[in-house]
Amino acid sequence: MIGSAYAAMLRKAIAKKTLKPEDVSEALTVLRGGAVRIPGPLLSAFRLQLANEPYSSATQAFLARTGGVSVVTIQAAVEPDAKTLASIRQTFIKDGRTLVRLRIEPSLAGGLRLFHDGHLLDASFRGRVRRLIEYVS
Amino acid sequence: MSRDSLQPFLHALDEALKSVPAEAERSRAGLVETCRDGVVRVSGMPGLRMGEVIRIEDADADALVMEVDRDGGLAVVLQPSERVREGLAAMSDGRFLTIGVGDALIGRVVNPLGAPVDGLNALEKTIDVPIESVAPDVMARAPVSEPLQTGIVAIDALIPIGRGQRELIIGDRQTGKTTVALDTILNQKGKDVMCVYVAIGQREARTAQVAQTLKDRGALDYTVVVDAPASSPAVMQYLAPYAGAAIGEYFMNKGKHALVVYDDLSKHAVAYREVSLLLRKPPGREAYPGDVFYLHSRLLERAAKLSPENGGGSLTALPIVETQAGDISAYIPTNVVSITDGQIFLESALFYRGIRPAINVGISVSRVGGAAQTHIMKKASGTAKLDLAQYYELAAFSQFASELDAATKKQLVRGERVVEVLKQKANHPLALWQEVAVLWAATKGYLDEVPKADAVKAIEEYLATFEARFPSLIETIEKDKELTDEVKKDLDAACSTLL
Repeated sequence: MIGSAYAAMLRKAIAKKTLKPEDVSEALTVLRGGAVRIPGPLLSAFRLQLANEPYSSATQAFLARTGGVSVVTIQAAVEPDAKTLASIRQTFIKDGRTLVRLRIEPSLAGGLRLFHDGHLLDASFRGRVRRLIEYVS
Repeated sequence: MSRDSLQPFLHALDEALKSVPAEAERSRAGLVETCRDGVVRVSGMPGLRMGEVIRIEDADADALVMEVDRDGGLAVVLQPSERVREGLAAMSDGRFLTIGVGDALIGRVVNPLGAPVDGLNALEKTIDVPIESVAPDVMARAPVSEPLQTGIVAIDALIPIGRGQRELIIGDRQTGKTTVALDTILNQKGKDVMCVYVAIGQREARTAQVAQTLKDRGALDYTVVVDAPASSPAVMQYLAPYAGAAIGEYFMNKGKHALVVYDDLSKHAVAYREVSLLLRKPPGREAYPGDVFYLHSRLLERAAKLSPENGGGSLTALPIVETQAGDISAYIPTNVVSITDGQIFLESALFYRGIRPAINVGISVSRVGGAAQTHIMKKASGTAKLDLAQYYELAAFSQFASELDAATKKQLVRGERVVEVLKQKANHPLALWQEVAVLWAATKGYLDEVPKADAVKAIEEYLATFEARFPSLIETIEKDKELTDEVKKDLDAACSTLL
C-alpha cells in the first residue's frame, strides 16, 4: 500500500519534472525494495507525510528501510482526542525520523506514559500511585 | 466514579508526590508487545543482551532474553504468571541470570533459580553467581588423575571414572540409569565430594523418592538437589543443569571435589526444543534447533579438574541420556557420546536377565578414567574384562556345541562367576576393600567351585566374614591402595579360608 502511494507520488514528481536524475535513481531504488542512507527531497517529503499518519508496522518498516526510524510509544488510559493526538505527534516528529505510536492501556487509570529508546516517562495515575507506595514502604 | 469526585484524589496524590525525591531512572524500559505461550516480545528497548533478565511490571515475573533484535527482543517468562500480558512495561537493570550458591545449599532441594522447594526455611549466606559461565580454560586445568569411586564393582573395575571426568550413563528407560548415579552419590559419603543431583523433567514423586533415599542414607549431608519437574515451564527445565553446574563450580573453585548428575539430558534437549520452537528458531533434525550440540557441550565443558595453582578442585559430570529401543545412534545420544569422556551403556536385555546393574561392558568405555584408577583396583580387575569377553564369546558358541573340552568349560565357569560378582543390589555401593575382595575371589578362581545359583549368597557371606576376620587387611587396602605381595598373600589366604 505504501509502495503504490509512493509510486504515485514518484510518477507525479517525474511528470512535473521537479526531480533531479539522481533523485529519480534513488526513488527507484526505494521502490525496488532497496535501502537508502540519506533520503532525498522526494523521499523526505513522503516520510514526513507517513509519519503524520496513524502508525502501522508497514510504515515503520518503510521508514526503517529509507533512512531509519525511531518509534515513540505513548500509552494512554483513554483514546485522546484528535487535537491532542496531533499536538503529541508534532512534538516528536522531526524530518520523518520519528514515528508516534499510540496504545490504549485502561489499567493506567489516567494520564499517559511514554516509551522511547529504552526510556520510560511515566505520567500515568497508576505510576504516580506506585511511586508513592514505593516511597512510603 | 465521576471526574469531579476523582479530582480531590488526584490533587492529593500530586501533593503527596511533591515530597517524593526525584530519582534518576536507572533501569531501562520497554513495552510488552505480545505474550504467547510464555514468550513475550519486548519493543522500545534497543541494546538488550542475550541472557539478560527483564522484569515485567505489575506481574511479579521475570523473563530471560533469548533473542534480540534492533528494537527489543524475545524473552521467556521464568515464573508462570497469569498477570503477564501485552501493554505492560518491561524493565531491565542490566542483570543476568544468577543463582545464590553457598554451603547453605547443602541438604536442600532448590529450583533452578536457587529458591528452596523443600518447604524448609529460606536460604541464608549465599553469593550470587551467573548460571551460565565460561568453562575453565586449558591452562587452568590438570589431567584427570584421582579416582571417583562409584561403589559399583563393574564401573570401578572396568570403566573407572576420574574426578573431573564427564562420563555418560546411557540406556533405555527402566534400565537403572538413575540408580547407578544415585549409588555413586551414596558412595561419596566421607570422601569429601560434594554432590549435586539435577532432576530435569522428572515426576515430582520420583524426585521426592530420590531425595528421600539420599536422606535415609545420610547422603543429603553433602548433596544438593536441583529440581525442575515435568510440571515446570520448559525454560526452567532448560536452566536446571546450568544451575547445577554453577553450584558444582562453587565447590570446585573452593578447591573441593564436586559431582553433578544431570538426570537427564534427553529431557533437557526436549525442553530446549520446546523453548526454541516457541521462539521461532528454525527447526533442524528431529525439530531440534541448530545449536543443540552447543547446548550440551557448553554445559559439560564446565566439568574439569583444576590445576594445583587454581586450587586443585574438580567437577565431575555424570550426564544421563535415555535411548529409545537401545538406539545410541539417535541425534542427542550421539551428540552427548561425542562430548563426554566415555559412556556406561545399560541394556534392557541384561536387566531382564537379572544382571543388575545392567552394564554392557563391551560397549561401555572410560577414555580418561584408567589413569585415575587406584593401583590395587587396576591389578585386582586385571583379567576381569578379558574373562568376560571370552565368556560371552564362548557362551554364544557353546549353545551349538554338544561337547565342550575342559578348558572351555573352565572359561565358561570363570566368566559366569565374574558376571555374578558384578551383580549388585541397588543403593548398596561397595567399599574399595569389598570390591577388591570380590574381584580377587572371582578372577583368581576361588568362586569356580561354588555353584552358580549360590554365588551371590556366598559372596555376601564371604564379605561379612572377611570384615570380621581381616580388619588389618581391610585397613591396608583402604589406606595404601596398593596391591603388594603381602596383600596378595593375605587376599589368597582370606579367599582360601572363606570360600
